[in-house]
Amino acid sequence: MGKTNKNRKRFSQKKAKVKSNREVKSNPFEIRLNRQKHPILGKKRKHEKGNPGIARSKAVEKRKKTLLKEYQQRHKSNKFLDKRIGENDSTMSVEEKMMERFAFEKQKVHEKSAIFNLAEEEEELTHYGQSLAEIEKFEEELSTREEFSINEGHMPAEENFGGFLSKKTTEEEDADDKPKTRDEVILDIIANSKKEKFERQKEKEDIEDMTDELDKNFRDVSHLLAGLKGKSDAKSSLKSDDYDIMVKELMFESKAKATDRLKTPEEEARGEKARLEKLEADRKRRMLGITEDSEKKKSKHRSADELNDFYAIEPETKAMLSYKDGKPTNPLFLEGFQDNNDGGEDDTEDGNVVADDGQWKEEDEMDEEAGSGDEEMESDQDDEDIDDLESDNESQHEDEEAVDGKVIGAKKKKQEMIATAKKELPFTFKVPADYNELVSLLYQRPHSEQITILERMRRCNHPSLAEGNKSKLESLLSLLVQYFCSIADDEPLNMELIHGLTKHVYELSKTSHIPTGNCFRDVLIEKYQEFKEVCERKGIGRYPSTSVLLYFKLLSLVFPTSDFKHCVITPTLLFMGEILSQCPVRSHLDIAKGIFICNTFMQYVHLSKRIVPEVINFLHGLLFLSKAKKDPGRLDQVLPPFKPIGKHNNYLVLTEDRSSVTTCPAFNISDIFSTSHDLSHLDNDDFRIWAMNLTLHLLLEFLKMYENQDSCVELFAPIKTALKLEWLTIRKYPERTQELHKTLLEEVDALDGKQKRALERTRKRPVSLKMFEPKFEDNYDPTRKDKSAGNKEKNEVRKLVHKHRQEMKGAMRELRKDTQFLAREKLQEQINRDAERKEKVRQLYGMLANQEGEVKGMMRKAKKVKF
Amino acid sequence: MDPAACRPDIAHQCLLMLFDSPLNRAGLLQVFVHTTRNALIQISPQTRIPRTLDRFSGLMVQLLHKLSIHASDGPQKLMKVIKNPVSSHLPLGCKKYCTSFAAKRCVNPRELAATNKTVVVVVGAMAHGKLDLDYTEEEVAISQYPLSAALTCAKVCSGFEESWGVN
Repeated sequence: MGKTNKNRKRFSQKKAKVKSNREVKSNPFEIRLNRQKHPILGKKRKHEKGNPGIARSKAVEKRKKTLLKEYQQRHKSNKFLDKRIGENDSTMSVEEKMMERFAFEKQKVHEKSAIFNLAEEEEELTHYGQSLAEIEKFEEELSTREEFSINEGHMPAEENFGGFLSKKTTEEEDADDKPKTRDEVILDIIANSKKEKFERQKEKEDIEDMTDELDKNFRDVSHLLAGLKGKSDAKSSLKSDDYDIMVKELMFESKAKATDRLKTPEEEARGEKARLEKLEADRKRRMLGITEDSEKKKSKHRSADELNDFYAIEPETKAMLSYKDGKPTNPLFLEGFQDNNDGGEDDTEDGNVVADDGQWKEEDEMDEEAGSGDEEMESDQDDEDIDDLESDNESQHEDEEAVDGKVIGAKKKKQEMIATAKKELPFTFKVPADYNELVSLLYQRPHSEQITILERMRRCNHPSLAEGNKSKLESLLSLLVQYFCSIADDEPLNMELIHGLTKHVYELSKTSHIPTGNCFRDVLIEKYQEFKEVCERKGIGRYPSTSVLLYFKLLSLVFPTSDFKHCVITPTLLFMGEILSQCPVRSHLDIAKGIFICNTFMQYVHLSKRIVPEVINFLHGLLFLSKAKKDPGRLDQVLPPFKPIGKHNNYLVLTEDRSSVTTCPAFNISDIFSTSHDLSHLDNDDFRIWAMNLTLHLLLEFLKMYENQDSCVELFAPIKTALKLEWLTIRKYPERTQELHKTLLEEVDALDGKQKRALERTRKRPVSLKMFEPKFEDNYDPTRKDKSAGNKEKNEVRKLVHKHRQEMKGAMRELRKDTQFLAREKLQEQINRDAERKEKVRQLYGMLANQEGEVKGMMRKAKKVKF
Repeated sequence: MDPAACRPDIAHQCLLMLFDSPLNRAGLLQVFVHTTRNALIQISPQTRIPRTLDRFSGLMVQLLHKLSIHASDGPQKLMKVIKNPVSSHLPLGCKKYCTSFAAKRCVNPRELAATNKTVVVVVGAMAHGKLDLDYTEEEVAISQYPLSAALTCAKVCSGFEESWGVN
């Protein structure tokens, strides 16, 4: 009962204690709450709550233990020092301490008692400077050993065989096999392993040392060896045969390198599509005459919904110093072009005047007369022409002259070879150095073989095969262009060869842009100069030869014709326009040529939809030529090169009614060009109907093309009047022509219905506020207080400074609190001292009062006694 | 805090509507945002509000931590946390409307901008609840139907544009 009572009591006491503790903890006046100004979701805070009372009392306690102690002993010069052995050494256990102390004590006692003990002191005896004791010991040991071996015969056996044969005596066993404690065993193991480790390390070091030494030695010897080796090499190289060389070559041959993974067909198709799209976009841009620079300068409009705040990096289109599709992207090049142009004109004025009347294409006739005696002369002349053409290719020109004689020889040789092995074509061709060589190579071969030769030549000299092949192909291109021009004047035209050549010229032109542009432009300049000369000489324009016309066609295939400005195409357009506007029609062939040029124009401008008034005027003129009865009293309104009165004005007038003919006549343009010397077959109604059909057709096409142009109505007004006035007696033409005429008339009439936009001022847009991107980090981490300075050292310094400041603050705070504490203590002391003194004074007063009282009492008693 | 009460997407939509409006482009709009935690934010009309909610949230977090946001390509301070109450930032004597579906008077936003004076329109960018403001003078509805906050902003903007001839 008593026990349980006791237990209960204890329990209740404990409970009360706990309760009081809890009460203290949960006292709201003891707790300090730190209010947060901007609460943030999900953020953990460190110093939300504080217990200032507890913290303060803890600090006071600590100060009482340390600072107060110091304060109290401030005037004391002596103090206790604990000099007990091992008292301040935490590593020693209590037992060790005790042992140490005991030993120390014993020693002390011994020293004291042994002071007077003389007998125990031993002097060391020496013999020849050696301690006698040692010598004695050695001898003794030896003797004992001998004794052992002799007397017992037991020791060596034990030593030699580890004593495994003989059983140990029990005594020995006892000594050895004393059961080891666990600690000892572990210590043993540790010692063993340490020893092993040390040995291993030692061994390794030894090996390293040895290798180092060996290396050093070898270095000393190596230079001797090197000389020897070189000698032996020299010997072997003398002996090395083909096999060795081959092996060595193979050894040093570059190994196959890792390449990019092969693209899948889909990827290839995608890449191709992207490339084509880019090219198309490029073409459109160039058509509008926007250079890449100006496009870049223009600030891009940004849609309000655009996502690229900072997301996508805008692809930067670099302005490249290149020649894109024959168009220079740098304006410097254009300047160069003009300079060249001027230079070219000067050249031709100096010399190379064409003397032939009407036929200003004489140098191209060379091929026809090839094989005749004056071939050499022809080729010489041609050489000169080439010089003029390619004033930049100085080196080539020099070469030509040097090898001229050689070429002729080679040519003859080649002819023989051709004769002997005509059907067999070699498989490799060198790129001909000059035009003559090329001509001799292709001379009198069927066109298919010529094409094959070119094909093989290009294969053999592919740019990827050897350095310098690219420039070779460039020169080949210029030669081919010349060859093209020369065969284009052949009669009859070898259309298949021209087609084949065109293919090669086209493909070659893709390899290098700038030389291609230069080459074509130079030829164009030459052709234009020829045209100009004829015009000046005759005072009137003459339609150029077929080669020029086909050259125009070739240009349209090689270069992009829709560019706003192109250093080859723009001059070509001007040239063609000049031909149409300056050359009066003087023959049926001229009509065909004119129509051909109109058609070429169509090809040139069908994308850019550029207005070409020369074409419309020419076609209008053709309508005029088909007018039947010319009224002598009234002049028809036609513009030059057509004249209202002239002998050629009835070239296209039908002689008889052909309305009954159902099939329209068809002429091949190549046939017409092929027979320029004999025009008699063109002077008939078939040709006229054919020409009229083409004229109407072209008009219709141009009309469709210009439909959306503002000036379309004005442009076609003369055509409209011509059609309305019935210049051509349409009823005479076949049904197809009549249909064409009708559609054209309808289309032209339809133009009138179109309303034009009134001219208006460009509207001023209100100025919009400029918008700015807010600057903020994508992965903002609010816990990281400040950003790094960017430099590691700086960061470190900053961190240290920060830490120093913090520590400084803390130290100051602590010091302040220390002083406060001390002041408090001092005050308390003073108060205590005062109180003590007061008490003492009071006691003294009391005592004195007592004394006084006693004295007085005694006095009173004495008085009483007296009386 | 109730996660359903946190609807930064509504505020984002509203801000997009407001800042893309021609009214703002013409420089005739000033936007203040007041949060439930009583932070008041002034946003410069030249601010391009991030297009995605993700980025907008990031921006707001940084703003509430750093209390201001600068332009990435200029010296301007685009957003800053300013002192309450908002009425101390509004011009004196301007008319202050509070929009609410529960309001008795339903007006066309054009009518709000009848004068050329500054007008304050308060729109609640929240899913539930009603604005309880002490500084507004009148409570109006701009539709007979409950509208989303973003649509309200858009309508108010277009009304002011019509009335003030911004197009």
